[in-house]
Amino acid sequence: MKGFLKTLIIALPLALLSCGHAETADEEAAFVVSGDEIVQSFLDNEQESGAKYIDQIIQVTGPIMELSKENGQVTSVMISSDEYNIVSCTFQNPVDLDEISGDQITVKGVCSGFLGDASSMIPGGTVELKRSSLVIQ
Amino acid sequence: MKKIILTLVLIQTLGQVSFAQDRYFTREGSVSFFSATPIENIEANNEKLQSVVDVSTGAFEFAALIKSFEFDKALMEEHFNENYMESNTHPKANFRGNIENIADLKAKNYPADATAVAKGKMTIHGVEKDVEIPAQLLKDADGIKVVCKFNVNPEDYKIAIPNAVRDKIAKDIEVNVEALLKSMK
Repeated sequence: MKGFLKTLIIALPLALLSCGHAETADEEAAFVVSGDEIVQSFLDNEQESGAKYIDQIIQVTGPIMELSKENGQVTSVMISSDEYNIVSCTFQNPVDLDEISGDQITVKGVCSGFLGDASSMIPGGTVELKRSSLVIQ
Repeated sequence: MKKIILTLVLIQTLGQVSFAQDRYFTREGSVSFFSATPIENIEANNEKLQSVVDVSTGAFEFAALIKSFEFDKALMEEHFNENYMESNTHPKANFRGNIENIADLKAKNYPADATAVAKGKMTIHGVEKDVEIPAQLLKDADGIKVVCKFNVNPEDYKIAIPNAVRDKIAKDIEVNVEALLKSMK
């Protein structure tokens, strides 16, 4: 029994340390919003929106501005109805292009924050979602 | 009077066109870091680096969200954000500076063997430091590719590493930036 406990005490932290991330596709979104809505929220009040959305799973719908591909599969998507204020989503697992149809897309992912600063040369503002998954409605 | 107004409009339009043509930009750059010690290698990637360069002035910036760095191990990512980078308080890192030899690089059409010298301010963990970053600027059919590699010492940016894990984290952390910047239209 003592030996078992000793092994458990050593093995448990090691097992926890080597664990990967949960699949976002299996998780429920805390917020369901449009792309324009979440970007505007950060533009209006970055601090308040950060406290509300960062680290949460957000489901976002909006027009596809750009798809990035690697080896024929989609690795990320930018959602926006204008050129400079966008939601940029990185997929947790690459998505087959055939799964994406039409001009609109719905994605859920973990919000990692907002990049945008009027004093910077970098134009516009970007809400970033990591470990995203495609939502087929 | 009409001629004056037309001339002014023309000057303004030409100014805007040249301004846009001189700037190159991306939201899809890559920044990664690697910390090697005999005990453990720590590696993370962020594929959402934003960067802009103005080839007429040499002004150069890049910025990234700390929480957009992805680690293979979930707990390591959590520790990085909560214990070391305190990313709720300091969510962004950026560099703002100038490529001093931009005119020379531009005149020679960005030769592969030339090094660009970017001098400016790096802000990490809310601490701003004067730095000099060697970079490579390469002309590409789609724009300008920027590649830089530099070291960051966590102590310089007041990133506290507890004694218990000090041996697991390298004193100098190698940071790699790679981005294809496209012309801003």
